[in-house]
Amino acid sequence: MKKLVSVLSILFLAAIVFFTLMGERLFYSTKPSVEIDRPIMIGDRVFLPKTAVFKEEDGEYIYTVTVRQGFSAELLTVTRVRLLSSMEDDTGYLGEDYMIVEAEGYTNSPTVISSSRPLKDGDMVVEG
Amino acid sequence: MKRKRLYYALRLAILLALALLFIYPVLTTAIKSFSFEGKPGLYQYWELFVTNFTYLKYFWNSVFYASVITAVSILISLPLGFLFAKLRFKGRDSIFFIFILVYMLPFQATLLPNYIQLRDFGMLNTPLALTLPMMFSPFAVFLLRQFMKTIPDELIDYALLETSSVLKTFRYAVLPQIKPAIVSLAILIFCESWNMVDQALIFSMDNNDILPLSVILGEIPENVRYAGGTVYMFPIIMLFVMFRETLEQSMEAYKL
Repeated sequence: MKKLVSVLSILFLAAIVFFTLMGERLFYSTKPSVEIDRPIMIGDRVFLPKTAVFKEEDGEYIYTVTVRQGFSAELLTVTRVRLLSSMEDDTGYLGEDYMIVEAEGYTNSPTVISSSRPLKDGDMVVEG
Repeated sequence: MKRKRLYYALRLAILLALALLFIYPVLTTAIKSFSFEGKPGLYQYWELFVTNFTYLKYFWNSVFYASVITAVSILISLPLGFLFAKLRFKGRDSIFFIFILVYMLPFQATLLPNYIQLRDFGMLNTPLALTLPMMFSPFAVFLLRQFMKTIPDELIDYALLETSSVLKTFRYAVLPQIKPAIVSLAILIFCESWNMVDQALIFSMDNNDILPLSVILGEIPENVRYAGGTVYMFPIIMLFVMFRETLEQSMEAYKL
């Protein structure tokens, strides 16, 4: 019994020390790193950089970001929003790097502009 | 004979029921910590240590406070216990009576004087505020005195004759006799300081970074509470299991 307890204690201590040193690093490195910005509204048109529009098999999507304060850091969760329409910026206001997008219920939410990895709905991400 | 068996069975049943009552929350916490959103596994621990990575900062705070308080408490209480048990001087019994009096006071009675002292010394909201008041334990002095009283006076006198030094007598004649007592006391003090809540809340109101895990445990997210509770309980349970025989031995031998 004592041997088992000693082994468990050593394993426990090893795990605690490992996560003490690596916990924060793992938090940031195991999540996709994203750039976040708000869309630009001109009139009733919503402008986003082209990199914010993710082309997938079943359509075009953008990812909005919800921020909440966690126990140790801010927790950013992405929500996938299907675009109803998107077109090149023909107004000349912002240039060829921007697109005019339309999505249901989407106006001014913080949006993923670019991501280090492909995203899925509900993923947790880190800004950077 | 039948009556004796019945009595034995009844006693066993009551003790089993009480044991189950005590172990049920511990077991439930531990078992539920191995599931996350209905799926079994260690993911709750991953969430605890990675997503809530500052949990371990408070864990190490608790380890630091409990270790320092235990070590210093024992260091201070050993010579004091010897003083009250074996050395004769004027006013010994009166001073010991004051120790007992202070020991019997509830924490709330000494809270305000402690707070005022710590404030005046500029120690509030520092680790010293959470360790210093608990380092001076009348309970430890009382316990060690009781243990040391069982050491024969003749042994002390003989050692004093041989060494001509109180310190050497204490080191070579007294200390080896009370090793189980020291281990038991260390475990009891460690457990008490590991579970400190009131002192941390009051003496560290404006500095959350130095709080021990016992205070923070209620603030961790719900989805990792079982894992957090299990990690919190683990050191104490391991200590008890490893030193159970020593604890039982000293409690039995010295009628604790």
